Amino acid sequence: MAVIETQLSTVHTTRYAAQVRADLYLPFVIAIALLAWVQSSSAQTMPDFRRTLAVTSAETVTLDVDVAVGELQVSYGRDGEVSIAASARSSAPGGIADGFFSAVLRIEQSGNHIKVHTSELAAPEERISVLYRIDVPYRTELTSKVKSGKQVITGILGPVDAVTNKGDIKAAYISNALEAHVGRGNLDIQVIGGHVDAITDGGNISCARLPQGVSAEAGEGDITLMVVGPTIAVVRKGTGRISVGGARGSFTGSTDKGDIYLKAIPHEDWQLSSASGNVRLELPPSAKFELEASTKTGEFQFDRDDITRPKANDLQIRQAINGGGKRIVVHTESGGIVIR
Amino acid sequence: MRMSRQFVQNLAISCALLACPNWLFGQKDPGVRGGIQNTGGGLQQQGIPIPHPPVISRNPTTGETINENELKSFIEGILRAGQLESTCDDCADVTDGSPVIGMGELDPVFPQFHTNSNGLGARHNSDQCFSCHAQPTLGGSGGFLVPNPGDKTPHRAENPQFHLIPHRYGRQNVVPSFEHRFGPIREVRFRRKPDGTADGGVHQLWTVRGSTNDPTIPNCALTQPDFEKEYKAGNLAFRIPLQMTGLGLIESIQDREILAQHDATAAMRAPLGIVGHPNRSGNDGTITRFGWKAQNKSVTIFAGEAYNVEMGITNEAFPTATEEDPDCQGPEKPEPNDVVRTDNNESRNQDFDNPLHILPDWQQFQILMRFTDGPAPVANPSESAKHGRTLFSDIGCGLCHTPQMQTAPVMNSAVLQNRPVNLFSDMFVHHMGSKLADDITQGQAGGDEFRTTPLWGVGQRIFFMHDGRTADLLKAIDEHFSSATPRHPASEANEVVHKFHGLSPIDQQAILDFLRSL
Repeated sequence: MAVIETQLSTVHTTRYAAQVRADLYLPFVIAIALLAWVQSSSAQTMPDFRRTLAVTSAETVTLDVDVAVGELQVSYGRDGEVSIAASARSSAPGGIADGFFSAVLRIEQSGNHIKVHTSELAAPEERISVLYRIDVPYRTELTSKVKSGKQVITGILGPVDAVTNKGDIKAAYISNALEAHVGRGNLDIQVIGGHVDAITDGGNISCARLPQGVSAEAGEGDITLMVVGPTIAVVRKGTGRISVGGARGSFTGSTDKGDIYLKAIPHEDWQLSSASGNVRLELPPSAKFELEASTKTGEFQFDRDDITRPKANDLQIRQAINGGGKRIVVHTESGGIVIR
Repeated sequence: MRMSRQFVQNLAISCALLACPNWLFGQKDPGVRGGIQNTGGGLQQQGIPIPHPPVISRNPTTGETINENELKSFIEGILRAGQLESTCDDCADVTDGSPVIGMGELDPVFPQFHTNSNGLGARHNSDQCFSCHAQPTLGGSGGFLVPNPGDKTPHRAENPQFHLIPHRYGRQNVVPSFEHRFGPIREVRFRRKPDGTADGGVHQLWTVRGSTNDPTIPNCALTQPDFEKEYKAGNLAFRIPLQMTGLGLIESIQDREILAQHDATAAMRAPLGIVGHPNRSGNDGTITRFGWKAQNKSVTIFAGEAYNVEMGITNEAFPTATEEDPDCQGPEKPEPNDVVRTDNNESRNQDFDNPLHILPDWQQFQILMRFTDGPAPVANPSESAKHGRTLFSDIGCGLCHTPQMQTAPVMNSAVLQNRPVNLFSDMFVHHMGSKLADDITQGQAGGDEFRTTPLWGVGQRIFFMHDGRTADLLKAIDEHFSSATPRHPASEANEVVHKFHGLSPIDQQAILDFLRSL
């Protein structure tokens, strides 16, 4: 009897435990199922598209890319091959159609000349995000156009000519020249061996380590430059500012209402002008230069002992500092001029 | 006379017939895969730059790729490792940050002929990283370089230790007889000191005496050690440069994986007399794994040490110079030479208020090594190579040359974690007998013990064994055999070498074909 009771008790306990487990687990199971359903309906990932094309080491690879919509990454990978990978995600209820990439993507190869185009008609809709990643040999020249999407270009010989209508361009470690033009978006450029032409109609430009110099033109955004060779920097209108650290060569900078800030040793001549923005220069105490500063209605402020303060109402100053050296010409209409 | 002629003819025919099986079936190293003309120096001879080291490939397990910042650091590492070292700050051809050629101080074209960095040691083995690591790509093992690729009639690619490095900028070095024009790049260790006690350290080949590009050391009178005398006395031990490819993957293998792989083959190793043991760090007891005797713990230590030992450039990891003669270290060479620069002025920071140039070269090297891919085998191996792969395991080669290990499941870099590494090494050191012994102890690796050399990339290496004694893979296999001597036990590889020689010539050839496919 005791045995039967024990068995019944055991059965009861087991049933109870099972019930408790079911009670506990059920919400989890439902939650996971819901999560899976939500994820599957909100973002469907296509299987990756991948293709590897053999190229010779003897010649430079020429790559032309034209993307309608999507992010484009072109990076150094390895010698002897061009590897093209693409992936797509969709938040649309229907997901992504089978054969998406076969309809969208066209790849042509003629020796070391490779073209990658996405079809205009089959361009992905707004709710599909596409990533194209192309790994190339170091010795690659690139021409790339993206209508809507970001471009990231890293580690190739170049030259590179990159255009994006809407979206940012990031380019780094290109050994030859770079031309980068963005309509609406920012430019981020680092370590370029050749001369850089950087234009953005409505975004910021940020550059670092460009020994051969840069011509940077921003419609109304900011321009930030670090360790650059001969430079021309122009902000066409608005309050966009120019900030420079470590100018290595000649420097010409102008803004509309934005400030100009420059911290460097004057290795070559500088010319800075702003309409209503302030110009602030920061130079080492030992720096040698010829200063020519003028303003129509602005004020001077010199936080150095080696610059003679202008007389009241003087609107221009000309002085050799530490015996003189390269020319620094500063002019503002109404902005102040500060030299430290 | 007629009989005699007949006899000679018959003898010749008989000899030819006897030789026929060897001619028909004799196994032979197929040579460097793709031919030497399609690797480093061979490409240079055709006017084609040596390819850059390959970026670590997509993680086959997770699909992760190298991230943007890792890639930038990797490329920065290539540029820094390509720099040609000068002896002082003010005597480099290209001053720091200068927009003179290419990328200024960072010129991506290798080899470079303008000094664009500074710190070359009074004693050194080389003045550029890539001069000893350019086979088959930059970052590879030691190979040949064209010493004058800019000339209209360039030389054939050759050992850069034969002329290029010892005599650059007028340096007055005598090239020892063991550095051959088409031989391996060799560095030298002395087995014993003059008093007979153990030495084992590297003795750099070259000095800066006579440098025409450094006015700060006119009184430098350093002389090279008497290598010929030591050579004749049998006191030299040679080492050749190892490839720097795939080291991040090897570093990412946990000790437990190494030990588990070893334990898994215990039953098969025992009858063959293969034992081995890991070399371990004297401080934390973990397995060390880099270098010919697995004496170095990490690529970071490897980078810092090599910068000091091979190029004489002191750094945070190895802050004191191997040669401190003040006449040969000018005032423009502050110690340590290569450090994280944070001072806010140009003379100490290489640029006025430059926050970008903060990682020193030696740390960029370790990032470069960490993210360089392992050597890739041929995509479509021949039938013979496929057969050789099976035989390689069957006869026991794979008991030490472990084909594959796995990196740690979770790592800071997603591209490195949880992926297979086809290294063909157990990372253990083994007794190899007196034939290979160099009588140099490093950590727990004794005089005849060497790390199982990873075989990935062996298909494109020119020279084999720690001292580069052969360029013939077949001979390299034979060099694994060594009988016991009073000084050293027998090689642990003896039974496997026996098994190799027990194979038919066709099967032996298959193994050689397999190895050259790696």
